[in-house]
Amino acid sequence: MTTTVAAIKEILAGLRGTPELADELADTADLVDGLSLDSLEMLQFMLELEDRLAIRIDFDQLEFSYLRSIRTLADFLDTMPARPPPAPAM
Amino acid sequence: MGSKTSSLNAQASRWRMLRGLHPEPIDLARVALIRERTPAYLAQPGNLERLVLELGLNDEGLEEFPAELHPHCGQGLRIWQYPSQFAGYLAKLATLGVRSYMELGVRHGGSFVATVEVLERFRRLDFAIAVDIIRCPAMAGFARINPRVEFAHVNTQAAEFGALLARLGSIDLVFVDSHHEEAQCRREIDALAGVANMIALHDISNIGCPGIGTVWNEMKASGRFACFEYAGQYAGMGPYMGIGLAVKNERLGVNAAPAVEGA
Repeated sequence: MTTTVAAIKEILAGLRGTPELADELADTADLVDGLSLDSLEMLQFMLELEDRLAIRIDFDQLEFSYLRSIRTLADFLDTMPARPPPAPAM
Repeated sequence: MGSKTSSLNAQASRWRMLRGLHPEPIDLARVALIRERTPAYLAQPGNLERLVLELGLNDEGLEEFPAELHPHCGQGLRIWQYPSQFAGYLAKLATLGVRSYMELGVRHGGSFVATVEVLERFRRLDFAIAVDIIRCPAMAGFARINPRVEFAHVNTQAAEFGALLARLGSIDLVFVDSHHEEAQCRREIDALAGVANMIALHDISNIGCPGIGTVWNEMKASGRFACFEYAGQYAGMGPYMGIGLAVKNERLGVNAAPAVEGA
């Protein structure tokens, strides 16, 4: 079973276009300064996290400091509720 | 690195304004409220302002809406606009005979739906394309009731956006309301420069994203456009939102048009 930490690393590797990055990243890697994700890449990252983990991120609870470590972010994401099924278009 | 952190902090702040990344369904039955109005009615900003309230406003970022608008928020098309600004903008578009339309960043889709439907009361569009990096569930339903509509799940910063523009060749009007970040906005304007006759920017006045105002001021200073602003504020608010419409001088057909017209 893929852990949240592994999922984060795989998504980051995909965003960077370097599959080997998933194996190279430390659990403590900093998403802001270490990986230099810009704001648009961070949006893509969040979208993929929600899809991959089937969760809905509560941004009221997301502290910027959580992005300073993959492990810290994973701990936060593990507390997020499952994403509700999509509502039918009206 | 400081600017990157600042940009990400701004993005995090914007996310907190949202209920979540994913858009909500909208009530497309309200399209009928536009289709039943005559062009003469829709040409008047006052009428349009009342109509926008009937169509329904978004309820994200509610603190940016004055209390008197709150009863209209969270329903209908979930239009994320100030009715007073949007009405003046739509009334101007009604005089321009817009032929085709693209919107970058549509969120729930309300502004896109309202713009397309109002424009089509004056002239049938050749096509209307909603572009967003986030899928918009309302667009499939809208395409069923308006066959000229298409949704493009595209990142404007990726090569696929350039391919989309190349496929279209020319677009009469593009409304830019995407990532609200200066550098991205400037790249979008640059990408559109050769294909769009008219470019509108949303949030030219918004204190939350001053970079959009910077890009708008650059467009005004370029001398290539006749520029129109719809940035009136509600008492005690903002400044928030604000729409700038830049019409290429050759599209307007009047090279001596005023460089900037406020509303």
